[in-house]
This record gives sequence, C-alpha cells and structure tokens, in this order.
Amino acid sequence: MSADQIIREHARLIILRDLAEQPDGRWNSEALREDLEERWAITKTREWVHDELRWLAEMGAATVNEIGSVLIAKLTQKGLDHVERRRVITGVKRPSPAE
Amino acid sequence: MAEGRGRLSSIDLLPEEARDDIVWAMAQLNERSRTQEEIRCELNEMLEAKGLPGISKSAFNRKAVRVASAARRLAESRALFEGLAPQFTPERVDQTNLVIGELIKVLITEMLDSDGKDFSPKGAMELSRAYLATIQGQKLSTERRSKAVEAFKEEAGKAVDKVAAKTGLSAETRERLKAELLGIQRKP
Repeated sequence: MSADQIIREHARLIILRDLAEQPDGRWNSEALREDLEERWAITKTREWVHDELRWLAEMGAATVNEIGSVLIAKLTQKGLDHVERRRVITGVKRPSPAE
Repeated sequence: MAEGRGRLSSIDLLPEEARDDIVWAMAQLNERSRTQEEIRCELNEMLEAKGLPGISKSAFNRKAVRVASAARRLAESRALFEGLAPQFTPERVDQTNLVIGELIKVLITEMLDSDGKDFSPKGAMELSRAYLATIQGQKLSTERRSKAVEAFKEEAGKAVDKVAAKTGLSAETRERLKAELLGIQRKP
C-alpha cells in the first residue's frame, strides 16, 4: 500500500472517530481539517478533506451537507459500526482494539 | 494560512515518504499509553531505515505539547457545546439548526483559540455568510426568503448570546460579533 493510501485510510478513521465524539455526531470540514493538522500532523487542504468526506458518504459511512465552501458531515450507523468495530469498511483503517 | 503558526518544525519538514511514520507517531502520542521518548526512538528507527534524519528530543517534545493542548481544547469545546446546545440531537435538526450548531462549535473553538484576547471569528463568519448566500440562492418568493434570512439571524444571534454568556465575553464584543457575523445592527 502506498504512503498516500495509508494516510487516506488513517484520515478516514480519524474523521469517523471525530464525528462519533461530537455530541451531535456532526462536524464541519474546516474543523476536521484543523484537527487532522493539529493532532495528527496530516496537513492537507480543505479540498482534500472534502474528497475524503465524499468518499465516506459514497461508502455510506457519513452523510454530507454542503453549505457554501464548507461541508457538514454526519456520522451514519454504518460509520459508527466501523468505529466501534462491529463491521469493517474496506478503505478505512481499522480502529485498534479497545483497552 | 501559516500566519501566526511560525516556523515549520523539523517534523513538518520531513519529506512525503515519511508521512506514514509521522501519522503513526501522532497516533501513538494521542493514545497516551507509551512514553514520548519510546515513541520518538521507534519513530527515529523507522526514519533511519528510510535514510531520513531523526527528530530531536526538543522538536518532538514541542510537537507532543501541541498535540496535547489541541486535544484538551477539543475536549473543552465539546463539553461547552454539549452544555450550550442540548437541542441539537441528531433527530431534531433542520438545515437552519444544522448550520447554527456548527456555527456555535466554530465560535467556541475560535474563542478558546484566542485566549481571551480580541479575536476575529473567521470560520464562523464564513459559515454564516455561506448559509445566508444559500438562502438567497434558493428559489423562494421574496417574502419567504427574507423570512428565512430573519429566522436564521435571530436564531444565530441567540446562539452568539449563549456562547458569549458562557465564555464571559463583554457586551461590546458580543454586539460587534453579531454585527460582523450576521449583519445585525446595534440598537441605538
């Protein structure tokens, strides 16, 4: 697997986890981009984040709502199932086992 | 975008081929189950295997401190949002509430980032303007459109008040915020 693919798969998991941790299961793309940069050293453009969000939406792991230049993403049950290890979405890094 | 962030760290300057190792190290830091030094040594071994320079103790420590403070801020802003907006449960949300929910989150984050100094709510402004523009772009009658705009301004204004009350913003900053965010004019 290429480094680019590893990072994408990792970023997808981070995004799903971030959404799961939000009280309403939603987060906007700019906040997600900042989190990827600050906590995970994945420094990408907002467009890159949008591509990953759309990919997750295609897989049914999230839904996205476009508000101008920002996407608002919401976790779906399928996305939550991946985060909580009840199912595996190919192309998203698997969460490490709970401690 | 780089404004205020200062010089790039030696970690940021590593080439693309080191990205996956960095991501691994960040994940380890975020997990908080191993010591910083253990993680750094292992990272440097991986970098060395690729013929790349290692990360110094001080540079890695700076990064770790930043990661930890970002995690703290995130937790704090989540808690604030939860306290401020219990009505934003996933089931009961229309397009307006969706935007206001995110507006509150962005405002909270931007306030926490500003450390109480004068702050410019760039992200919140972008969201607010984008949403107002979507209403304007919808095929609605003039009357319904202006009603939708007013409803959003009112709800978002309330949200600003709530966030301001919780974070102890001055009345003046609050009014300036509303004027900038929503174009709500100060009452004489």
